[in-house]
Amino acid sequence: MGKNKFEDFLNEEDVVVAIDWDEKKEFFLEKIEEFYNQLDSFLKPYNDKISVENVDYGINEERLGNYTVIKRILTIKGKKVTFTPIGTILIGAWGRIDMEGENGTVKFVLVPEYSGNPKIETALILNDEDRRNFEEKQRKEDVEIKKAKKIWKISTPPPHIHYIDLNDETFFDVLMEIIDG
Amino acid sequence: MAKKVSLSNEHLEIDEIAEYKNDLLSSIVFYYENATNFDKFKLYTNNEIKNEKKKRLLELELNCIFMVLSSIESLIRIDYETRVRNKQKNSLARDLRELDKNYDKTYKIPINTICDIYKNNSQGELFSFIKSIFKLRHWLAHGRYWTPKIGRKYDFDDIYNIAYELNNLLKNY
Repeated sequence: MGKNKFEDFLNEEDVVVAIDWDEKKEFFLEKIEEFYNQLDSFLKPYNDKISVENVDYGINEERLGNYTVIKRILTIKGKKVTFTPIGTILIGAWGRIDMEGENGTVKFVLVPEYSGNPKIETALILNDEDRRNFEEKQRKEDVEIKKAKKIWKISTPPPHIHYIDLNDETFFDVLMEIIDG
Repeated sequence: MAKKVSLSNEHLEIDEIAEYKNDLLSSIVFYYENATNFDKFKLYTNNEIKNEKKKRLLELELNCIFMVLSSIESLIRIDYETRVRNKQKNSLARDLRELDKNYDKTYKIPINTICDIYKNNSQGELFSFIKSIFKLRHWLAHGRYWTPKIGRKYDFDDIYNIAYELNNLLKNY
């Protein structure tokens, strides 16, 4: 029984699209840098009042193994705010950086520009029409996702997670939430 | 064939769990921000207060993850019950009825076995994620005494998101 199942498993056609894991990691590393550049531009007017420290931080992800990223620590009026890259193998996102302060954590997620909330596309297939509809929808979405620019957005906490554009205004809103409650 | 389950309607909705978590999180933050007002914290250093707050927040996260995971099981078992007893005429309901024939009580059917049937009758990754996070539930339910091999890190938002998608999926069919 187990042997048959094992043989079936070996012979099963691999329908999963091959992923270039190195390319995925490099893309994430580039995007982390892009995030920090964005952060620098938000904080530039206050540079004399904020201290910035960069430290190496190790990430371990299945398929990618161990790699090092930069974790950034800001000190603002004695309060620490830490930006930690979490990883790139995530449900519905291409990367995540957590901003942690004394009063909580805010998540920045790397998602397609048009994306407004996380999605796990799944359908129950009860007949052939369901299958056709799903495959058609998936094809269209795959094209759209590939074309879309991936940008950093703020992910709100549940219930009803949604993504907010990251800009000067929204950044300081969430920063104050985790510093000052 | 398994006996019909008498549904309690006491299962928690996932949004209720998320609200519960947010309220407790605010309470914990408020409590430790005002630590100097409480006798308990006399003789504590600032670092001790910070570390204890961190520990409480981590426990809150894990407990709420467990609550959502339980809620995912209830969503699947309620859906199972509905599809099997209503004798729906589609491949999913037929496969579930076939499974049901082998048991006298529904709770004896392993949740992973039920999930496999949903997975075989669906497209997309949702049921693979669900099977994977049940390993996390097992770890939480049995005292976390071993190092779990779950493959990827899941936090409360990830688990909530999976439950949210499952809820929507089952509601629409």
